Amino acid sequence: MSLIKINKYLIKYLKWTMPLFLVLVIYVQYCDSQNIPLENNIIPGFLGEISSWIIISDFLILPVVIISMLISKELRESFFFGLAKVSEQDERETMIIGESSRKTLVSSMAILLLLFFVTNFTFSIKHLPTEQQTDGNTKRMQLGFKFDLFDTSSKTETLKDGSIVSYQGVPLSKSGLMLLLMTWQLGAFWYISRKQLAKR
Amino acid sequence: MTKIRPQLKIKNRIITLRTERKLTQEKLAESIGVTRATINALEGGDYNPSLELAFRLARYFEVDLEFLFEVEGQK
Repeated sequence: MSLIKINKYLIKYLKWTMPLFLVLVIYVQYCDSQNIPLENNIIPGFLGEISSWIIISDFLILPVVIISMLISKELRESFFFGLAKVSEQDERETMIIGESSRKTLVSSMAILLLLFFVTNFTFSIKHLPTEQQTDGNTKRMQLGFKFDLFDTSSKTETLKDGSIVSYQGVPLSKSGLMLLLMTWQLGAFWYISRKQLAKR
Repeated sequence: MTKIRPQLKIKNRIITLRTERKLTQEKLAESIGVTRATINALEGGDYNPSLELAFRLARYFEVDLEFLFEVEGQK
């Protein structure tokens, strides 16, 4: 059985189990926020056992599917085209998809650029203490640009709680992630279009 | 900056030839290997086919390419 066939079955399994997974995640988050102890509140008995196994299997299958999508172009296209409900049945649809992709790339880049700017832009107006007030100025306005590539805040909290091994997500800051996305989008588009141009 | 030439306005006789042969858009699309929406777009002048598709259509209708397609304004 090929990688693509296996992953198509795994994706179908995820499609069926994802609603339960999401409901349980939301429920746990809710209990957490309301400080409700979970021990006696999660689905009891046999149903509870089944749900636990479904959640574990989802956690194991998701990285397999995600990594397979990185490797397989066919799987990537069939998944995302299916999600966006687009098909490429003839030359006209291929052309339409090409145009749509171009416009999507450009608009995504514009939004990412805006988000990058507003994430790093700092602005404040504050009252000056009496000893710093000169020439009748009682307030100070500050404009700035603050960029951190990495997010170190979660790492510090992990060390404090005594964990031996802990993974708290990608260590890049929001700005770092946006910069990575913009670089990836532009770089990938440049590389793929050069390759296509060289072919023809 | 890349200069993009204005596209030629190309007319076609697809709808005339199709109706003469009493074919539906669906049937023609299936025979040519495209979607019904593409045939509709071709007949409405909303889409210019590739050279390959143009030849396929001409062969299907058993007519010359220049008879099937013509540039607007040219006799």
